[in-house]
Order: sequence, then structure tokens, then C-alpha cells
Amino acid sequence: MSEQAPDSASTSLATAAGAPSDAGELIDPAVARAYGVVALGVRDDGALRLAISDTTDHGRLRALRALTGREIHPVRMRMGEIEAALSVLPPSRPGARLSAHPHAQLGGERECSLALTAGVPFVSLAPRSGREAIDPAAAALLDEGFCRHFAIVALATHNDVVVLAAADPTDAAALRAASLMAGREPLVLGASASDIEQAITRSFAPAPRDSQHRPGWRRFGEILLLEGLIDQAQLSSALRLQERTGDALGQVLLHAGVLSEHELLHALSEQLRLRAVRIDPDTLDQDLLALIPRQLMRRHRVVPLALEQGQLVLAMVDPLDDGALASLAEHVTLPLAPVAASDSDIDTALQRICAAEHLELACSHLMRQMPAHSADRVLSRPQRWALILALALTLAALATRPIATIVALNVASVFFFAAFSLYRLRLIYGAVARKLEFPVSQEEINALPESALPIYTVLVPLYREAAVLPRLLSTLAQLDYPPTKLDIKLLVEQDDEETLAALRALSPPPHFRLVLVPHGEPRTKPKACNYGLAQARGEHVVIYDAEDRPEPDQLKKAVLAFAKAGPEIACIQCKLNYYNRDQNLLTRWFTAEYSMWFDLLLPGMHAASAPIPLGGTSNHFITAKLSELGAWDPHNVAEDADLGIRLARRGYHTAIIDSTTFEEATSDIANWTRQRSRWVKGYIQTWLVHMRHPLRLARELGPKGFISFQLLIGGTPGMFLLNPLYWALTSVWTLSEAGVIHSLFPGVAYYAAGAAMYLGNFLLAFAAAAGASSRGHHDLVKYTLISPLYWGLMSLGAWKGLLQLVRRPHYWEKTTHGLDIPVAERR
Amino acid sequence: MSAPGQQLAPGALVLDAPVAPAAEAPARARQRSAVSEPTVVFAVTFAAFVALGVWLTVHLQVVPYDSAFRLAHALFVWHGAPAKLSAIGFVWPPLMTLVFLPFAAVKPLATSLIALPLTSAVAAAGTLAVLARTFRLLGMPRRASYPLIAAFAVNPMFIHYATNGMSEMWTFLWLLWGLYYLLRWHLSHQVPVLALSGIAMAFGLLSRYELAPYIVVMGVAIFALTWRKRGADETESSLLLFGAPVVYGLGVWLLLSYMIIGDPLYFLHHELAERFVLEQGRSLSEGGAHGANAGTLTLARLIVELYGRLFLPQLLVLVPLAVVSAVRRSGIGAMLIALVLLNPLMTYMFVKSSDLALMQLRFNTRSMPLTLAAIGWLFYLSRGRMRPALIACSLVSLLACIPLTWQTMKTYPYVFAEHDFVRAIETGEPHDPIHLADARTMAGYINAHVHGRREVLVDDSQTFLPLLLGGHPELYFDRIDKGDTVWRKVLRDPRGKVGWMLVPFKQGPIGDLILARYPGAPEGAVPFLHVVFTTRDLALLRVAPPVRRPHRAT
Repeated sequence: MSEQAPDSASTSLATAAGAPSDAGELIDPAVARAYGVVALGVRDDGALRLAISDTTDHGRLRALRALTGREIHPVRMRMGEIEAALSVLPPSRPGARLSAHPHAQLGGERECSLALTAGVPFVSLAPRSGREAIDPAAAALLDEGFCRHFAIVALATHNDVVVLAAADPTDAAALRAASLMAGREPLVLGASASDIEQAITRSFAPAPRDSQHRPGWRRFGEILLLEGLIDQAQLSSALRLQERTGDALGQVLLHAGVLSEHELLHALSEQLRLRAVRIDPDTLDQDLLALIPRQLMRRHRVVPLALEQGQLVLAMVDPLDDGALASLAEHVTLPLAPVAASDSDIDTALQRICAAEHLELACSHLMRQMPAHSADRVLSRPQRWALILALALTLAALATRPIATIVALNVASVFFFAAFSLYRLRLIYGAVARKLEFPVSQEEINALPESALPIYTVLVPLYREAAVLPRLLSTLAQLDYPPTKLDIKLLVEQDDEETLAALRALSPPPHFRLVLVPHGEPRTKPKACNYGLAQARGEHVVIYDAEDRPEPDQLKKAVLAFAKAGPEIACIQCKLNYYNRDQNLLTRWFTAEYSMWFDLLLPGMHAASAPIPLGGTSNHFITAKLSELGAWDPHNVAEDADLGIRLARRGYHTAIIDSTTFEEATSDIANWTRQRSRWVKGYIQTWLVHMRHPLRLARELGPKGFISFQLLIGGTPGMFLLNPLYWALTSVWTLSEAGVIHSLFPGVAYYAAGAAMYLGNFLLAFAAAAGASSRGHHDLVKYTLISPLYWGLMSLGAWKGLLQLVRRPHYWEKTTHGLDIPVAERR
Repeated sequence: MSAPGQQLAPGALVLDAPVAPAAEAPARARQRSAVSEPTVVFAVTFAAFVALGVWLTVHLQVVPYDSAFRLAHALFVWHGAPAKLSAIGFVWPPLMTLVFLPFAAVKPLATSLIALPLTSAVAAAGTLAVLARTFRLLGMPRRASYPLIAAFAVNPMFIHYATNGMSEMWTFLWLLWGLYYLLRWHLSHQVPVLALSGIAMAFGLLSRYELAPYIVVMGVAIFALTWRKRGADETESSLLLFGAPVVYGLGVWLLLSYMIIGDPLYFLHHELAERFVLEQGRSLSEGGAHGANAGTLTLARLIVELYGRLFLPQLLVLVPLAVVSAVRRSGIGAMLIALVLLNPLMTYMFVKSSDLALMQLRFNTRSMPLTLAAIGWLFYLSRGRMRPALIACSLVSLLACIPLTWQTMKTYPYVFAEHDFVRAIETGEPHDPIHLADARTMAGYINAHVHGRREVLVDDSQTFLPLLLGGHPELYFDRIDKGDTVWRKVLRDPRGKVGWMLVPFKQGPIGDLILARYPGAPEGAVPFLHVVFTTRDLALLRVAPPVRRPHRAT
């Protein structure tokens, strides 16, 4: 092979075209053309002298050695000369003998005749002088099961050509499948079946498991074919998919909807000669359950079923998982007898077994672990006293010096308003002129091997969402992510019969798992999410709402962003926008507001390393880090914003990526007000929770982060609440020019208020216009110019939220979805 | 703590994970943002212009009347009696007074007049920084852009207006800023960027009303560039984003004018503004001829000659820009040509309709920054060897025009304060065109002898300097403090209402209402007004107490 030193001097190829005929005979013209080589002759030691443009192209030389069965002595030539020589070579000769070995030595006369029939060379694949004739990288292009099944092996690759050795080169379908799998054009050779079998065994490590060498053992695909569960086309397609994703063939077929869970289980038990069982969660033996710690059951996905002949019968998804069995054996004194069970049976049983524990964690984990971060109390005791003291002092000041007190309060709020406006505008300005999102390119997504993708958990809390369920399932099914690596959990409240019935009627694919959230207070979305998270299997986790329509490649983008980002990034927030913006004026305003918030403000905050209040959905987490933080606060009705702040307090960052989830903009004012009141209430809750220890907060967030927190988390509801007051003052002053109002705005406060009113208000409204146009919603720009009317609604929602915080702090104002769907269709 | 990419064991109850103490959390990534190139340009040139400006203002006392007037009004906004925003005045565009506000808030900066070079240095440095950004946007390398910027920055006309507190530099800044974002929009198709262009042009309009035609040209260009390729929605949103700030800014100004003085168009037809410009130009040009008397060709020749003497590169760039824009079918090129030609066209129209005095140098500077932007665009459009040739020619013309501009500032008849600037630098002697020293003496006298608020009646249009330099505007009772009606009432009979009056000896271009009411008062011709202190320009009068009429016997 090419390890021999190439000729140092270039050889003229005047003779190449008419090169020694015996040398030319050694290599088929088609092969010579495919590889860009010309045979020059045979040396005394039997090595073949080949003219080649790059003598260091070991891959090509290895392939040629495999093809010719000779050592190769490369001679460097210019490509032009080689092309000239190739141009005069005759066409390929069917059945030409390419190997130096006579047929008798190669064995497999039937295969040899098949090669002659197909008009392809017949070669030996045996190693020479201890050197392997097959390029392992090329061999790995095909799945082992496929290779064995069809007796095909990939020998080498060159540019867009893959050299295949097949026992039956006339099997066009198999060769086509191999070519598709390898993603290259095939160059086919014949070889004996034994040569191919040995080559496969040498190329694919490790050796097959013992169980597969049992007498009568059959490949999984064969079993399915024999049972008539699938046909050849489905198998080929599944094998191709398996090549891409690296998943088990059974899982691929299951998620493709070809096999049912029951059929899969049946085929597996037949292949592995193991018992398969169905689990009835109602009959589980509590004494046996006590034998294995819950955490191990969840980790290894096992359920103890019975004691048989002194052995503990364990239902497992993968009974051949030696690691799991070894781990369990450390905790269980009894011998273990694994049996196969379906994933959904195990899942349902584990849900039942761990329900109380999950519920406890979902409702009170944060409260127990980090009570200072839980919104279970609206005010801490010091806060209560501080509030009482502040109120008392204000009242006393009002009683003694009313005007001065009002002026002082007014000045403070005017300056806060001005600071709030300036800060928002600064962030928005930064994002208008630049692209500040964390970069993930389409090329990177295309290059991402699906086999390397981690399991992704998708949590979808559902409560009275029957109307939007069909759309939801269809949307999530369109995610560009291998279904075998998706762990979609539909979190449905136990008493939500309507949604449950709709869901059962739709019978979603196997990667959708129904999680019944038991009744328990507080009855909030974050509680349901925590409950789902407790059962998450993914390395990453994301939340989607019932009406969400994420862009199909969002999960891949998030995976890439996590992989590219530093360890400080624990969360990735995607942008949110609305798909029904044209429904009415409210949805137009709402869309413009969201465009400004997610397309300009959050990227601006990301760039400024400010703590980001997360949006309600499409926030992707590293699951382990989310759990470290204590997950969502079930008592906080803006649990997303709160979690964003907790992330920042722990030194983590949130990145924004350019991927959008489209939601439904609520089109009904009452519904909108309810939603807004919940958001504002949650922001106030979040502010109060984190301000329990202001100094600690300032230390953890840093000065910039602390100021940002005050202006955005405290400032946003504050502005909504104060706006009506200032609008009233402005109106009264404009109409009456009452001196008392003028006296409330001394000196600098007057100018600050003027600037905030004339400039700040316009620029904030204009920011919504910039946001809308940034999103490409050009038709919305004109509506944003009258968005101050929309601010009135915001203030209405804010006041409702504040009052509700006093009366029902943990009450979750449910937003009704599906209002964009015609009534008849909803029914 | 787990690192990114760490695999979570399937089925692990993630909520069971131990809670790591905060100390173990990764250190917050410190994003140390590198100082950007425009920031460096800004910082260096700002420092240079401030140093030069302080020398010119404080040492050589080259202070234009206009900028001192605006600074005085900014001081009244903070320190008047009472302090009120309406002190900015409603005759001239408001922004030029507003930009003084931050500096006037610190009284010593205003009374020492350092606020003047500070404000214009901010704008000048900002202009050069935006120019650097524009060149970078257009792909010009630093070795080409820096010499061009430097050659522009040392042009004497640029230095003059970068150090004297006038509005020219702010006009440059807003114009170039608006243009920068418009180019950026064109090159990147990021529509929201047009909002920034619109905001810049709105500020520009509120700094100088003459920018209105520039806004129209840019708006037409946006329409033309969008309509063909992007459809109606995008055209509409583009024009709204660009135009809304302009309309809003103007709308607020009209509203305030209406609310405060009852006439939204006060600034347009108020005779004071018109008279001031004309009179000032005429007085400086020693009685200029009416433009209508000059023939069209003669006037055109005069204007071309003016532009050739003032800033040669702007004439030179037009032809290649027109040729290359035509060849490359560049709409932006056409817009830039229109923008560069707007200034001479406006001059022609103004002069033709009124007075040659309007050919003042400072009214013809707006094409200067646009010329640099045009060079940048030409660079963007040209390829290969054209680029070095373009840079070399531009640099040579920028350098060559420096002595030419200097000479023009020295000898051209229609100037504002250019003669003072040139003479002061050439002689190195203090030059005091508006008699600051006298005003300071008067202010000192008033500060020492007058006590109490609103004691000195003034019509501050001509007599504002003692108010500014004395630093105690609260001692004075001007037309802003209690409104024009109250002020005029006091003017009719000041006795018992104020103790003093400050009047000029002669009427200036704007006119002093006190002098108009009491002609001869500075010379002691009014019986109840006694002259107590005078300087070359001003007289301080003591107002006699009212004569008490005896009670009629019953």
C-alpha cells in the first residue's frame, strides 16, 4: 500500500495512455476513472505502480489495494496528464478479473458468477500482510445489521463514491439502500459471502453480545419480517433512519407508527427469549415496591412485580441492561429476574408509585429547600414591618406637611419613571441596530448529527385545553427532532375530564406521555411543570403552552446553543410572538408589544448581561441546573420571571436565540385583562420575594443587575400602576392650568416629568413600532402609534393584579386559549 | 455543578438533586466590552475641541452673540424667577437651547461661558464619530478613513463651529446621524433602523428648521427605494418609522407654542426671528444688495464661487458621484447628490427672494459633512484601483481647502463671527466682539447693589449678558418670568413695582422694548428714571418711587 515511498520524480505519462497492457488490465477503467489513477505496471515484488495526483491520499490508496488485491506503489503525476491518459482508456469490461488471485483462491463461485452477471469485478477482502483491506470509516457508513442481512460491506470512499462489496451485486434494491445510507454513489464489486461476513465481523466492534449468539438467534428485523409486522420497504426505511439517529430499530419503528408498543414488546421478547409482561398498576405489591428505592426505580425504569422461586421479578424496558441490573443488585439481596415490559406500562406504573412523592416535590420543594425564594408568603415579617412603618411615616408626613410630602413622593416617582424609560430605551436602542441574539446558524443545524442529540423533555401543562389539543399534537409532531429522543409530557390535571377525554380520543404517538397531575394546592402552572419535571428524562427541558407553535428546528437550535455556550448559560429563552395578530386591534397591539419585548428588549438585556425575566414558554433549560435551582416556584404566578431572577442570582445567564414560538394573542379584553393582572401580580410577587434581603440580592446580582432588577421587575408594574395618576394630572393641568398641580413639580422634577411625558412616552410607543417592524409585521406599525390607548388597558390589568395580590395572592387567573378558532370548530 | 452537555441519568428525579451552595456557582462572566473605534474618535476630538474652545472663549473671548443668548436662556430655565421651561423661548428652534441645559445646570459652567465650547465640542466630536462609523459601514479601511476625518476636523470652519456653541455642529451631527442610519437601513434591510434615522432628523429639525427639505429628500428616497422592491406594507412602515418622530417632534413644538403663547406657528411668522436674521446679516455685510437685483446666472456664479472658496471637495465630488451612481444605478447616490445640492439651492432661493446677506458662510456649511458621506458612498460603489485614487484625491482636496477656507473666513463679506475668529487667532489677542467685559462689569455692579427677586426690569433680547455673566437671573424681571402681559404692565408704569431698569443705549437688530418705550432714558431724559451706572452699551436706571397723592380733604 502507499506506505511505500512514492517515486520521487514525476514520471512522464507519455506512455500511460498506451501503458503496459498487463498493468492496464489490472484495474478496471471505471475504477481508474472513479479514483483518478492510471496503472503503469507491476513491479518485481508484485506491487502495482499507479499514477496518482496525490500520493498521500491514503484513503484512496487503501481502497485501490482492496480493489486490486496488490500492494500499491504510487507515482506522482499531474492531474492533467492523468485525465488525458484516462480519456483514452476503453470502457469498463464486465466481469474483468481485477484481483491477481484466481477465482479458485477467492472461493464463492456462486458469488463470482453473480459478479460476472452484474458485470462487476470480483475481489478478495482478506487482509494482506496483516493490513486491513477495509477502511473502517467507510464500513461505519452502513449499519451492521443491514450489512449482515444483505451481505454487503463498504470498503472505501472517495469523494462522493462509496466502494461496496456485495455477495449479490445483482440485488439492486439492497445496493440502492446501501448507497442511500452512505449518502454516496455506489461503485460495486463482487466478493464471496464468507469474505463479507468476516469483513463485517472485523469491521464492527465490539463483538455481538452473547445472547445474540444463542442458537437460533435472529436479527430483530428478520423477526419482524417473519411475523409480518413490517415489510421490506419499512425495514429499509427504518434502517436508514436508524443510521441517522443511532436509535434501536424497534424504537425507530415504534415512533414511526409502524409498530405498536405491544408488537414491539412481543418481537423483543421473541428475539431475546425473555418473558414479556403487561403491568397493571392497581395490582402492584407494596411490600415488593419497598424493596427497591424509588429513585433507583425511576433511574433504571424498573418495577418489581412478583417473587418467583426466590427471585424478584423485575419489569424493565431493557432487560439486557447489565449496568442497571448490577446497580439494582447492590441494593436488593434477592436474585433478580428481569422481564420485558413496555415503556408506557413502566411509565404509568412509576407515575402511580411515585405520585405522592412527586406531588410533594412539586408543591413544596422550593418552599422547604429555599424558603427565602418562595412566594408562599406575600411579605416576609421584616417586609411587613417595613411596609407598616413606611405607611405610618407617610401618613404622619401627610398630616403635618401634606404638600411637601406629596411633592417628595411625586419627585421620587418622576425620577423613577425617567430612569425606567431611559433604561428600556437604552436596551432597545442597542437591539435595533445590532443582532444581539446568541448566534446559531442554519449550517450548524444542518451539520448536527441526529445520533448525537440528547433526549429532550418537553413539558406541556394543559388545563381545560381540549379545544386546542389537535393543533398542539400536530404542532409538536412537526418538531425537527428524532421522536425517539423526545420525551413530551402532557401535564393534565387529574380532574380535567374534558382534556383527558380529548387526549385519549386523539391517541397521540408513543413519545407523547400523559402525566396526570394530582389535585393539590396551589393549583398553578408551575406546580404542574414541577410535577412533570420530576419525571423528566431529558438532558434538556423546555416548556410549551397548549397553543404554542414553536419553529420546528427550535430544539436543535437550543441544543447547539447550549453546546456552544459557556457553563454559565443555564437557560435559553426563545422569542415569542403571535400567529393571530390580525384578529382585532387588541391582538395587533399585543403582537407589537411582544415583538418589542422579545425581539428588542430581551436581546438587549442579554447583551447587557442583565437578569432576564423569562417568558412564560419556550424557555429551555439544562435539566440538572434547573433542578439545582429548585425549579419553578408553584406559589408565584409569574414563575417564569422569578426563575429568571433566581438563575441570575446563582451566577447563571440566560441566552436569547433567534427562534420563535408563535402563540395565540388573546383577543378578548376580559381575558386579556385577566392574563395581564396575573403577570403584574406575579411581577410584584417576584419583586417582593427577591427584595426580602436587598443587600444579598445586590451582592448576588451585582450593581448593574440590581438596578436592572429594580427598573424592570419593580418598574414595570410600578409604571402601569402610576400611569393613570399622571394622565389624570396632565389632563387636569392642561384643562385648568391649576397652580396646585404645577407646585407638585418643582425644578428638576418638572423638566424630568416633561421629558418623560413628551419624549419618553413617544419613544416607548415608538419602540413598539420598531419591534413590530423588526419582526417583519410592517402592517402593525401604524397601530403602534396609537398604543398609548393600549397602555390604559395595561394599567387596568395592573390595578386588578395588585388588588388580587392582597385578596388571593396565589390564585392563577386562567387564560382561555383557542379564541381564534371558530366556535363551531372549538366544539 | 454539572457542565453543559453533561448527561442526566435517564429517569433521575431531578428535584432530588442536591442544592449547590451559591459559592459554587460559576463566576459571572464579565463581559468587558472593548472600547469601540467611534468612541475613541469621540473622546480624542472632544478633548481637543474643548481645550481649543476654552482657549478661544475664555482667553480670546471669541463668543458669538447667538450662542451666548441661548446659553443665557438655558440658565433662566434653571435659575430664573421662577425657573420654567418656557424660558427656552419660542422664536428659535428649541433644541439648541435644550442642549445647553445640562451644562447650564452647573452655574459656573454657564457664567464662565465654558458651556459654549462644551456643547459644540460634544456635537463636533459626535459628528466625527458618526463619520467614522459611516466610513466603517461603507467598508473604508482605517488607513483611509482616519486621514479623511482628520483633514475634515482641522478645517478652520469646522473648528470655529466646534468651539463656539453655535447650532451648526448640532446640525452636522443630526444630519450625519440620520444619514448614517439611512445608509445602514439600505445596506442591511433592517427596517427598524429607520426609526433611529427619523429620530435623528427630528432632533435636527428642532435644531434648525432649514433641515426640513433634507427630511423631505430622505423621505422621497426611502419611498423610492422601498416601493419598487418591498411592497406597500413595508413602504408604509418605513415611511412611518422615519417620519413619525419628525411629525411628533414638530407637533409637540406646535402644541407647546400654542399652549404657552397661544400661537402654534409663532416661530414661523414672528417678525423677531425674520428681522434678526436679516438685520444681523445686513449689519455685518455693510448693507448688502437685494438678491433679486442680481441675475440668475450671476447669482449662480456667486454661489458656486462661494462653495469653491468655502469647501472645495463638495464641488469635486459631485461629478464622479453622479457618473458612478448612474452607472451603478444607485438610488442612494442620487439622494446624496440631491442632499449636497440642497444647501446651494436653498441659498439661491433665499437670496433671490430677499437679501445677499443670506449668503453668509455659516448658512452654507450643511453640505460639508454630506460631502464626506458622499465620498464614503463613492468609495463603497467603486472597485479596485478606483478606491485608492478616490481617497488620495479626497484627501488632497480636503487639505488644499484648509488655507482656502481660512482665507475665505478672513475676507468674505458675508460672515457671522468668522472675522473675529480669524483675527483673534492671528493676533493671539483677546477679541471681544460682543463686549463681554462691559457686561461683566455691569453684572458685578448689579450683583453688589440689587437685592431681592425680580428687581431689575429687562427686555433680555438685547441685555441678556449681565444676566448670564452675573449668574443671578433671579434679580431680573424679564418677559418670561410672569408672562408678557404682566411684564408690559410693569413697563407701562414701573414705579413701585421694580427698583431698577437695564436698557441698551441703542436699538439692536432685535430691538429693546424698554428703550422703545422710554427713548432717551439711558441719557437721563426720563424724569423718574435715574441713570446710576453705565457701560459702553448698557445703562442701569434707578426707578423713582411712586409719587403719593395726598388724601383729598373731605
